[in-house]
Amino acid sequence: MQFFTSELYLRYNAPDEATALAADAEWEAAIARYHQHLNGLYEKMPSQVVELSKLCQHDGEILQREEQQHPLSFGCLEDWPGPSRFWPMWYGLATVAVRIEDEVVTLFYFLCDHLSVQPAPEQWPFRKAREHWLYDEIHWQRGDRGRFTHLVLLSSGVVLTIPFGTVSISRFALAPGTSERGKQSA
Amino acid sequence: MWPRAETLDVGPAIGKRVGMGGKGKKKPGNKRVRPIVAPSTAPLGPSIHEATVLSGGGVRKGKVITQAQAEALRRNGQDIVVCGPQHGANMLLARDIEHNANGAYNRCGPHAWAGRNGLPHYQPDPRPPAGHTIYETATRHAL
Repeated sequence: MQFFTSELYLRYNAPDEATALAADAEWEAAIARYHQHLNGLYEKMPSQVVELSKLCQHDGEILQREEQQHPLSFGCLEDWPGPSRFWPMWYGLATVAVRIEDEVVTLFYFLCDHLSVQPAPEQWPFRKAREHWLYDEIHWQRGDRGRFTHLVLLSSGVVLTIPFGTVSISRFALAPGTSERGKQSA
Repeated sequence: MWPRAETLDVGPAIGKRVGMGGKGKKKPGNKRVRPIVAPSTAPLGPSIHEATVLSGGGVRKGKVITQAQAEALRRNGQDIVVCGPQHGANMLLARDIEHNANGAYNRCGPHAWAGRNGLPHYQPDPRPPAGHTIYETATRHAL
């Protein structure tokens, strides 16, 4: 994370008032800088990534986060005469499912590289069970045209780094009353 | 018709010049002077309200409630908001409410996409219950 870092979040939760208030000012500055950062990226973003950049999943419960590899089959080449000229091809897919109120939002990332999981800092004081989405950032992979990185800070202190080319966002409404959560907060 | 120049209980009588006496010399008359009340220097304390988190991320404040009522709402997973001009006082009261209601907590800053109406808040760690103890800052206010 470059803007909403684990370290800033820890200062934001400092027990002494002076540190907490100073972190509040840092947070406001981080919001302003992040908006400036995104404004410089919009022209590079396809519409799905723009939509991803504006999603507010804060406080959403993480139901699933995983990476999978799938073979890419060229079915049209099955009748190609002679020996196979192609190595088997695979693609990576990361799935992150988040429950917010009465809706499940599932993000399908078409990966450029493996999803990485940065462990929580040693001094992370918050519970690691029942992960929730805290904050996220989108970055452009310099020198790697058409590729982005989604960084997600979770309530367990873990930071997901998801390098992707494009993303699909799926929303699924739960039956009313199945959620034990209150309204999503800003 | 002008009223008679007579001393009124309040203020100078119409037609009667205040402070006149002797040969045109001004006497310290019976000017009615309102006592100057020094404005209270003590800042207004925070107020606690029921709250509704709006879809755009803003927070609408409802009726005023007591701290005990706020803690009961929080135990029940409802949102409340602490309002007032003092950022620090709001933050500390919100913290106390969340702690009294639900024990361990964490504090979260406003999300970048909530705009100017997004507010910081405390919430239980871990959940449940749902909901948040939200509070105003010097620059962010409930609607």
